[in-house]
Amino acid sequence: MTRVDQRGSAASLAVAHNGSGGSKRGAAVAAETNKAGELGTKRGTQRGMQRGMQRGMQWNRLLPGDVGMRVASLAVFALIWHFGALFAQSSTLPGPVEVLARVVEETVALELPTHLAVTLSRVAVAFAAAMLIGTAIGIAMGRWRRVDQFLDAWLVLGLNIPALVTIILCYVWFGLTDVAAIVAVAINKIPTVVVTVREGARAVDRRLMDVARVYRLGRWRTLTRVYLPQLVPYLMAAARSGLSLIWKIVLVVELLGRSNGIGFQLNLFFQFFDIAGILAYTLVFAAIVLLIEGCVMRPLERRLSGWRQT
Amino acid sequence: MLSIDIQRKTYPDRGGHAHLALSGLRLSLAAGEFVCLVGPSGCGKSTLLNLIAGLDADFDGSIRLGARPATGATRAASVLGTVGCDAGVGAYDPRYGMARSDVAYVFQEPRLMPWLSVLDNVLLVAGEPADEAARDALRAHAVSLLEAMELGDVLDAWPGRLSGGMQRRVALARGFVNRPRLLLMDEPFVSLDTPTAARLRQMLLSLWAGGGSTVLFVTHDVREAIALGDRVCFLSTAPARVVLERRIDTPRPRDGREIERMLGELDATHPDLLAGLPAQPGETAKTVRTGEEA
Repeated sequence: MTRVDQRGSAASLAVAHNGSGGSKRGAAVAAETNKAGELGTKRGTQRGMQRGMQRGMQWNRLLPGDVGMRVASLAVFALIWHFGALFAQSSTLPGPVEVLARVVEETVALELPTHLAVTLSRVAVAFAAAMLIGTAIGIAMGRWRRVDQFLDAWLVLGLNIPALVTIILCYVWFGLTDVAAIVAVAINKIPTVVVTVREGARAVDRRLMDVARVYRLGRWRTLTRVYLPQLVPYLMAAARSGLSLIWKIVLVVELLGRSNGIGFQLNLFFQFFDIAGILAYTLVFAAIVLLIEGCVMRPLERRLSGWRQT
Repeated sequence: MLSIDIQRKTYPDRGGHAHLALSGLRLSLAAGEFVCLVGPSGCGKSTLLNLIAGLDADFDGSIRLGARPATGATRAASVLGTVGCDAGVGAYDPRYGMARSDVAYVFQEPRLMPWLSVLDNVLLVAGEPADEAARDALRAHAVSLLEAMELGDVLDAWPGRLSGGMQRRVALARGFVNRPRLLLMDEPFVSLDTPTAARLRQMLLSLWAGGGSTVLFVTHDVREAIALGDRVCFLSTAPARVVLERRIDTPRPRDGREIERMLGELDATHPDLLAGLPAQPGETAKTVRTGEEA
């Protein structure tokens, strides 16, 4: 639809209404940008349109491609950090060079890899448990109204209890153990998974389920080939938001009651005011998160939702 | 082969009151017959099909799918009214080299699984035989069906990329892949343009001719019913029951003049029956009811 500026001249309106392809668009563009009402000829508006397009293309040529943009973004970030540290000249803001040196040092001493591995394993177990249990409960609540009515209040409670409270209570009741830590993380994540998956279960297309019933596909085939594929976008959303939540809670759990892991190390560095150490571990941590997003989540999503690109 | 006797079928309508959809509906289909069911929109045709397909078991009456002798043995008649979602494809029928399932259903919308390719959609309902050779045979059968529907070069395409007519062809192939004993069709060609619908009707007839399935084809278009069926049954408005049955013995394909002649005959003998049904080609039931110009 062409939007013709009401304040344009009668001539431009006439050109637009004549409806000849390109000049129509050109007239609209020209009408919007023209203040003095210089429009008149068809040729004038076409030239204006061409000039606008050329300017846009010139800008695009200066910018790098996709990967180039991401690399440029990182480079700019590093530069801002470097010069910021240089300018601040404070022990609380070490520059990127110092932090990178620290990363290497910790890796060689096998400190960083050990703690990273421990944290990652806790994240993995908590993630798996939360996704499995949360999905099961979410499907049950989405499918059967009675279950939904019964569990809804518990769900709201679970969503609103602060993570800190659950963690402290788990440590108090189950002791300062790894099991308590993982249970605390999972309990925090499960309600969010349930809410998302419940929406997915409610949105299942009854008509496709009818096809499965009429053709007697059987419970397993119906579940795996008709039901679960409809939940994929909801599961992906739950997985993504859940993973980012779990990372953060695991660090808190380790800080409060474990003797290894990145959270524990961060607490140690904080007490010794070792900012370089904090930044070093945070940097590596962030890199791992980005890696998982790029190498696991995005390809998985592309594979499962490829059919939506129509 | 299929005998339907529905004494009473109600369901709660939008206001919550019980709406009597079917009452005293009796219908029998012989094996291999193509029966068309004609009725105005809203008279309960889809409700009836859902009952036969086993999607709905809440009715008073019985629906029986009789046994076909296979290698001399007879099976007991099954009462479809209480069928749930069990696994399994029907008994092995040696004449066709593969098991035949009882019922297939071609819905009003194509209802394809958007995350499966065209071929996978057809194979989804075909069962998973245990040995390799049977699986290959099944796949080849599905491919040949799709090629007969002129879909040979979109076997790996997503349904979302196909036009409406192509999606319906896939749904048709899916209906026939199991060589079902009973094929239910709920106005499958409604809202298609005339040439596409005509082409699909041809394909339907050629698929049916090769397989020996019994077809129950529901439509509100009398011309379509006369063009396709061995027998045309007319339903009244709700509460629906069969008010007229007509055998049509003219060989297919039936040309336009034949169809108009039979339509004229029906109109002369039962004018009230065709009220509420489209009287002119291209009319829809809606325009007839409101009296607007088509």
